[in-house]
Amino acid sequence: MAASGSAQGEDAPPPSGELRSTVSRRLPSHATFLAALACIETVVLAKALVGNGEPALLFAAACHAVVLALVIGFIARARARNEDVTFLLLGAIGAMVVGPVGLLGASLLCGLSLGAEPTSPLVAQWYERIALSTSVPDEERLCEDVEVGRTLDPAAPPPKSFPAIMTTGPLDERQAVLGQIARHFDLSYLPTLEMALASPEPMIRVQAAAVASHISPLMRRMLQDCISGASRAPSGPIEALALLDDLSSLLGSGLLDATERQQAEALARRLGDTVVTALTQKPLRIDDPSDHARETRLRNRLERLLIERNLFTELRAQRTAARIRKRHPTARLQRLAVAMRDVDSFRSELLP
Amino acid sequence: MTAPNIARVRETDVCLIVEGCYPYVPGGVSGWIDWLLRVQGNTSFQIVALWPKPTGQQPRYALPPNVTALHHLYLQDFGAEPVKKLPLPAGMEALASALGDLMAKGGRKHLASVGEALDRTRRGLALPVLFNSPLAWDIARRSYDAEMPYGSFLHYFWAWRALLGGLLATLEFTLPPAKVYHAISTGYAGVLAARAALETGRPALLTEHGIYTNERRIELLMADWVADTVDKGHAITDPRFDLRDMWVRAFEAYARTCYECCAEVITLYEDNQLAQRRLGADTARLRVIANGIDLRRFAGLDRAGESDRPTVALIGRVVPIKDVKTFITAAAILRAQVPDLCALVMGPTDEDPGYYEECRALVSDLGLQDTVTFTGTVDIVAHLPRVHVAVLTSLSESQPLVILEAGAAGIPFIATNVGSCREIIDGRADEMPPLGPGGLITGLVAPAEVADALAKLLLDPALRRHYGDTLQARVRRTYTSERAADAYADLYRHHIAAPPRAVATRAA
Repeated sequence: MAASGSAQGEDAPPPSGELRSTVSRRLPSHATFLAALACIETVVLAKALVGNGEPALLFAAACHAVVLALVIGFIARARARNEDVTFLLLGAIGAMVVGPVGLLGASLLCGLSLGAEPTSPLVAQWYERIALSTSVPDEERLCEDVEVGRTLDPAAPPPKSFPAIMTTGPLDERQAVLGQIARHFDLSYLPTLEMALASPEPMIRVQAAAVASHISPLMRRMLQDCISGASRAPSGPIEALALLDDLSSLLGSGLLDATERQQAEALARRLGDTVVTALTQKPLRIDDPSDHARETRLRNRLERLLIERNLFTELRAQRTAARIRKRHPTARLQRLAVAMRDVDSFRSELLP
Repeated sequence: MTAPNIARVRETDVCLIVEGCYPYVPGGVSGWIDWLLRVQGNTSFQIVALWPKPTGQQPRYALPPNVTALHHLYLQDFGAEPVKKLPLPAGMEALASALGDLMAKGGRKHLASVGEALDRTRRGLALPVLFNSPLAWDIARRSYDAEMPYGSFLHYFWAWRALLGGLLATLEFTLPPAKVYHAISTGYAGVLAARAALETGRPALLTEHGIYTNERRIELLMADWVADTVDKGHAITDPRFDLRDMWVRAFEAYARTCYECCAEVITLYEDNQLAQRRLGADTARLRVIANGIDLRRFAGLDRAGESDRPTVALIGRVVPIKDVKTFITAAAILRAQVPDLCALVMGPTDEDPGYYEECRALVSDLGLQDTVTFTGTVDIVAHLPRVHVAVLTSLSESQPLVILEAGAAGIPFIATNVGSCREIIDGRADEMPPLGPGGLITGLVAPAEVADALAKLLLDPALRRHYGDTLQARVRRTYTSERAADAYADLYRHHIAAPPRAVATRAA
């Protein structure tokens, strides 16, 4: 049942920045055509003038009529092709009034206009703007978006949580969430997608399956990105932890096939080792004021890693370090005493 | 008031209205239509095939002798050149408003209003002229001002044009004369059936295999080609109307129109009725006619014995929607419990060569070369006697015939909870007396769950035989080809004999 689907695909607007006007341009062939006709008519008229009597004049008149007919025929053809016929019309009028001189004049004008901008710059700019073209400067776009009310609504209530919508929201909202996941996929959406795949509502399950199928190439690319990111020797434990977090999300989705899962698990183990080794030297400083969500995620990931590996002493030390840093943001913790017993002994390692 | 727009050809019993499939696309719904035409040999048919534009495709099915004509309705074939300047006719406001209502709300009343307004406004103009005229431009402008003045007009215009183009083509099409109009989906096919019911007074029927509107909605919500012209961020409930909403709303409105005008709304399984009811279908008109199979093909087939090599089979095309990788992964898990397992993938492998290669690589990576076999296209009747348990790990299905075929052969089935799989395996809610389960249902993309279910049936011959017997009994009782053919024969007989209702009139 794809007829209207493909119809939409064909006739719907292409992505932003690719829209082009269908208004036709003046074509070099018009200038050539007019010039050629002017030459032919000049030669014929010259022959008629040097000839004698009425037959020569009749021949010249017939030739003139043929030339006019040719111009009119060419105009019809150009119209059928949605081409600009301005200079052809000018040529026809010129030919009627002053014969080959009119044709030649129209041809010259057409030729001269070929190098000129076909449309006014203002019109071109306007078209770019309404086509939401990417060539429009961001500030101009933003200004206009604000003016017409196309931007994010600052007065709107905060967006609802996706998992909450998936649990208790109405059907159309759940479907909209799945659409959002498909169009703007992020690893943090995977738990919501899993909920949708297990939904008792058949329409949601079907759509979730379509989304899972849609994002699977993307997930494969993400896994490859993690693998290549790790192979570039991550510059520090925080980077390793971030990669581990992404990998864990991919693994938790259940959407990787067995081979990919094996690769991901091996890499996750290696990244975990990197993080733990670093942690035994010094507590990790996970601060990202620009992205609080990421910071929280990485903290949680680290704690989960330490719990999975039964490193509870390190877990306590990391938490303590975090607490101290919270109270003394400028404190620099030189190293972590793995055998730390209490906060006091740990504090002694603080540099002034 | 003028006469209905009906072609001067011989009237047939049924006019079948199909969109994007028969006779040009093989398999799926087309296969079903071919079956329907052949089993209703005493009923005469005409077919209206809806396509976006003429494509020069060759038919994949030979029309049976009871089909007297094949008509084509092209939804987007309007040319691109403005034809001439038309003075704005009287009644333009009414036409714009009626079209807006039909595309936004749908329903019998608005369809009738559009027909009347179109007749008054166009005054005999051909549709391409009207559609490419300043009049059409003016309607687009007014609709834009009313609906999303903050959006991109350019994007709105093209979306509006594509939607309205299909609708106007459907409203313009000359109806073949028939006693019953039968659409095989909602969308534009459904609108045409609704129009036929309205203008001829003859009954319109609808058979939906999948829920067209839901399929379109899924496609539209995920589509990259629909521009988001309003920044809604992560807000799901932002009330500002955008292009995506316009597309979805239009298809829902068309479905509503069809449901309201059709005398009977048929589908293959009960779950689909939930969606139909949500879109406004009247419960009293809803009906399930399940597809069936020819039991004779499976009569007397032997079942795999306990001494045979334990064999499980996924019967289906090797394409992502069947999620063959989950089956392969499940086989890898299961092999720990059943070392001499044989896992067959029975179906064509040439539809998505890339995916097939990925599956083969997965088999190789998991060391399953001796376990998993891709048989390619085979006669499954010849292979079923060696299969102990059949499996479907699909992400989406409608009513898969393979479950019926395996069931007819007495093989229990494990399937994901999609389409009518649960209904076939566990039985419909109104099954009397209830037969019990004929297999097991698993979640989507859940290889461990599939492996557990397979182990349960492979390692317990008594349970396997019990489930196999149950599924066989259910298929024999409910899912036979004869039963489905009889249901449609009764349906046609009833509606062909029905007296015509009062009609709405349209310009010829």
